[in-house]
Amino acid sequence: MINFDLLLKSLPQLIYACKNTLIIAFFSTLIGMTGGTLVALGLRSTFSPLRWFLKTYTTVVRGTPMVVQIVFLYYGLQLPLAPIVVAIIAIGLNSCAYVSQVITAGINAVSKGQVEAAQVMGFTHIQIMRYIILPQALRVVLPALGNEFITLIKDSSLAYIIGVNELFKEGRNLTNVTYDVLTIYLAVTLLYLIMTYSLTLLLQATEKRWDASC
Amino acid sequence: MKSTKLVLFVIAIGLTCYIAYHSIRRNTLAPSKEDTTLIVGTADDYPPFSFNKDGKIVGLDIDLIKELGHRMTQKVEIKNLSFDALLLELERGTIQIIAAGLSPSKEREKKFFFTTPHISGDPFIALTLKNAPSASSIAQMQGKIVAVNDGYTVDNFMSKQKGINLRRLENVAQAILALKTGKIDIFVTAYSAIQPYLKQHNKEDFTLNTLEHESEGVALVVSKKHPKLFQRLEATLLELKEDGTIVDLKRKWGMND
Repeated sequence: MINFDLLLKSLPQLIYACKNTLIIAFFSTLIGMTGGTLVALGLRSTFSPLRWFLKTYTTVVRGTPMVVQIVFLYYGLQLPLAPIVVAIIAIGLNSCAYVSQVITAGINAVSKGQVEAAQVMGFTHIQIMRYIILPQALRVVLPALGNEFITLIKDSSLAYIIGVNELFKEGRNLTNVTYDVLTIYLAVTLLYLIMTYSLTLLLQATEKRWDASC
Repeated sequence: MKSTKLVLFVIAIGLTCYIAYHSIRRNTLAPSKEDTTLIVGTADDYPPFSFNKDGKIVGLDIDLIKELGHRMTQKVEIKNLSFDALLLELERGTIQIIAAGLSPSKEREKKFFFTTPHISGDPFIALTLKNAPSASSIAQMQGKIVAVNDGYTVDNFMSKQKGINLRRLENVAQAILALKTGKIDIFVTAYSAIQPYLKQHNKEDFTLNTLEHESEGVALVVSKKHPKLFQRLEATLLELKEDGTIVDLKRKWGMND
């Protein structure tokens, strides 16, 4: 059933399409991490409208499927942007909501005694955040953020719905030309696996090094 | 103090939305661009009319609209959308024309202009495996699992038939796999859509039966907001028909008659 000649022949084109997959995953992780940290801080703000707004945002994003969010952002809002940019924004905003929960957990993991000690020593609220809480919180959550990148590599396949030529869409394109669904999707599967597994190994290696340096 | 902050916050959000809305409006409804450029929507999932090959959108309808643009001395901008979004976007005015192997239908004609079909006499084909019972009429499909491609003219037709277990699959490739692996009994499709597959592969595995019904043909769709554009397209299409360009295009994409 599997046509190995076709598999080899289609690989260069599919590997090239991995570029877009990685671009989407990388930039949406970037948006997710910076945005997620800001959202996590905003959720602790004393200014209640901001808190409500962010709470609504995370509830809506976490409570709806990502594919719906991408379609809504592209067709619903009609942003005058290229599909790949819309995909990055949609997936990035989705990631923001999840990362904010991870960071919040990290912040909560820093013991209260440290905060109280810093307050006694005259640190301001912002200084406590900047020098005491965030460095420790980020250290705790970094592995989880690495996993977020891996998750987004897989999630980026949803960008096909708005016509972005990433790996999955390129696979669809090839099935339309070759009509060999099994072979092409086998190649696509392998390429996703190679990307995610090599990143997992990389992450494990980095984590080990951090543990050693602690 | 707190209420002033709240008011400022609401104003800031309101202002952002307002500015965003206007910048979007300006960008999508720029009139100067519409005069010089044909803004065409397609869905690159339907060979031989519109599909993606080596990263480029190609196909009969794509060639046709490019040739039309050339004759009308207008640029052609092609936007690739998902199939279900095409008619929606045309209604909304973000595209002016659809070139995606679409067929006219009575319901669709109420809302949009359809050009004179450039593909006609396109019969529906019932594809079955060689060693399985074949079907040449709707009556013979009763109780069987029948696949069609989602949203196309065959889907429209088959959806009206009773007593059939209908499966809507995304494209020809998936339907062929489903047929070969026994997931479905019959695949019904327009002849033009299955032709590229039959050219590349062994016909011997299948039984092809022509159904009595045929497709309404393939045409371009134009928004009702652009009646003048529609008339010009029709006139230029007639020109292409008369000088043989359409026949050449059909030959290029493997449609011999």
